[in-house]
Amino acid sequence: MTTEQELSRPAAPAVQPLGTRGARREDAAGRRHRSLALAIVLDLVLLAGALTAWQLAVDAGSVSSLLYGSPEMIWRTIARGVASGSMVRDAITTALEALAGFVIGNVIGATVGVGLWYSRLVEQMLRPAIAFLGATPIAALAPIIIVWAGTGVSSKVVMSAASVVVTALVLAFDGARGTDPLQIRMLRSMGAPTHRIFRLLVLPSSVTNICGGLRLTAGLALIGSIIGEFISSDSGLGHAILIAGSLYDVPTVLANLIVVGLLSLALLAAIGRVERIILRWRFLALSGE
Amino acid sequence: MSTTTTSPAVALHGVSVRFGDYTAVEDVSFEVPEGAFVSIVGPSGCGKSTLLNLISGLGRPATGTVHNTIRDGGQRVGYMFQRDLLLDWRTVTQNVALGLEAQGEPRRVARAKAADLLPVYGLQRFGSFYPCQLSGGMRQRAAFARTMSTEPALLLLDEPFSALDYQTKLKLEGELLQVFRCSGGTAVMVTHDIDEAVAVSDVVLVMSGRPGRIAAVHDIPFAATGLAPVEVREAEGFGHLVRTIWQEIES
Repeated sequence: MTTEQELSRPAAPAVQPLGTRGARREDAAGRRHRSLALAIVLDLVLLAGALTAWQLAVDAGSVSSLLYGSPEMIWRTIARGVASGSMVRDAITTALEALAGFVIGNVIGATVGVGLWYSRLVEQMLRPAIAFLGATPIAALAPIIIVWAGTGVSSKVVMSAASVVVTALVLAFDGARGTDPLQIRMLRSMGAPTHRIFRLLVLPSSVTNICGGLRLTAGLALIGSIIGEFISSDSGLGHAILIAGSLYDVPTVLANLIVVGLLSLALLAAIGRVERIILRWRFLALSGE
Repeated sequence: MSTTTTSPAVALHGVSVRFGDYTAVEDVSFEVPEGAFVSIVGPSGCGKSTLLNLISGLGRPATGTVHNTIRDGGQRVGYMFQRDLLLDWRTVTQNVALGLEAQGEPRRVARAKAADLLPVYGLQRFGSFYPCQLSGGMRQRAAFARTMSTEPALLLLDEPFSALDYQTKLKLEGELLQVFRCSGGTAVMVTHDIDEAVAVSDVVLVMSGRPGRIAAVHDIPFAATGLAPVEVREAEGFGHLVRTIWQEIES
């Protein structure tokens, strides 16, 4: 998601100008702004070209609209779904499931991951369990999770959280373990006990990695909730895709997939905003010298 | 200014350090009088930093004894490294407050004290800047302010100026030395810069390499005169002393 990362960078950070350096910084920000605008324009041009070609091929009869749908049919499906409200309801259901799973999975993952810095023994004990969990296809667990957590929203939240938690944990732990040993030594020499070193240094050092984890797991959370909906559900985008797929209704499947994609873009944009606030110091570094 | 007139803050006797079969430091003895600024110069790899680690209690000698009466007496020891080790996510004020926060001062109190300290180190306009917005010299000033905020009785310096350009280095040496002298503390500095050692120290210990031994000890007359390091570099006899030490290291 490189375009998204680009999007999440600040356009022009509010910093006090540092003598002549202020002017240079604005130039750099301006350049980035222009290249971003160009990227978006090129994206739109490419997209329009591809859609036009597809539509023309369908109209000319060289591509079967029954097998592949057409931009026009997809657009009409989306318009109908939005007008009737059914697609909006499905999108809200899936978004809430994924968001809840995303938050729960990341909170648990990051807390345990960073907490493992405290104890090498516990970390080594948990290592095989983490590897085991990381290699478990969550989709395979879906039927059991439905049995445990019911067919309602909660099972999708569990699915979503389970898809997220290991990635979040491993990244947070790597962040904590990557804390500069000289900085730890410095704080120790200043008389800080371990818990204070953790709070003042290890935790903030891990934040960059934890933010990376948020970015990586946004898509995973959505996939988790949709797999949950595939197994058993009465609403949500996964449910709509499953029904449409069983009816060979290609335009509806594609229309719902587009909505899933838009949800993921929205989630990433929100994460970008949060990141910009939490990692303010980092964006200052990126934007200037 | 001889090494025996006052009670020593730090004393090493017959110290050797080995890493496996490799002898890094052999039979080193010296004392650091209280209130003195002692520099250790020598070629890279001669065990200078190893000696500093011994003094700070991070390592143990294979033979000999290391006494650090300041640390044993419960007084604070401060460090300055070549890298400033500022925390990227903290502003200058917050970085300076880190030393106090590490000792358990409430955040608000620590940051208020830190803000009061900034003018002493020429940082008053930079309190709300992040490290990434500062020059190398400014970063090292902030690091020094952070170290001094805990009022260390013993300061251990490991090539603190070596990452700076010459101009900045001279300026910073002078300013920091003045602050340090006012604090009345004791300092041990490791450096490979002979000029710098002679310009700021009361005593210079010259080490030869592989294994590291003390080749010579020089009492430096300049520092006690209160001259700034820049002026000391112009002083009569400075060049001669630097050349003498240079030859001792070479031989």
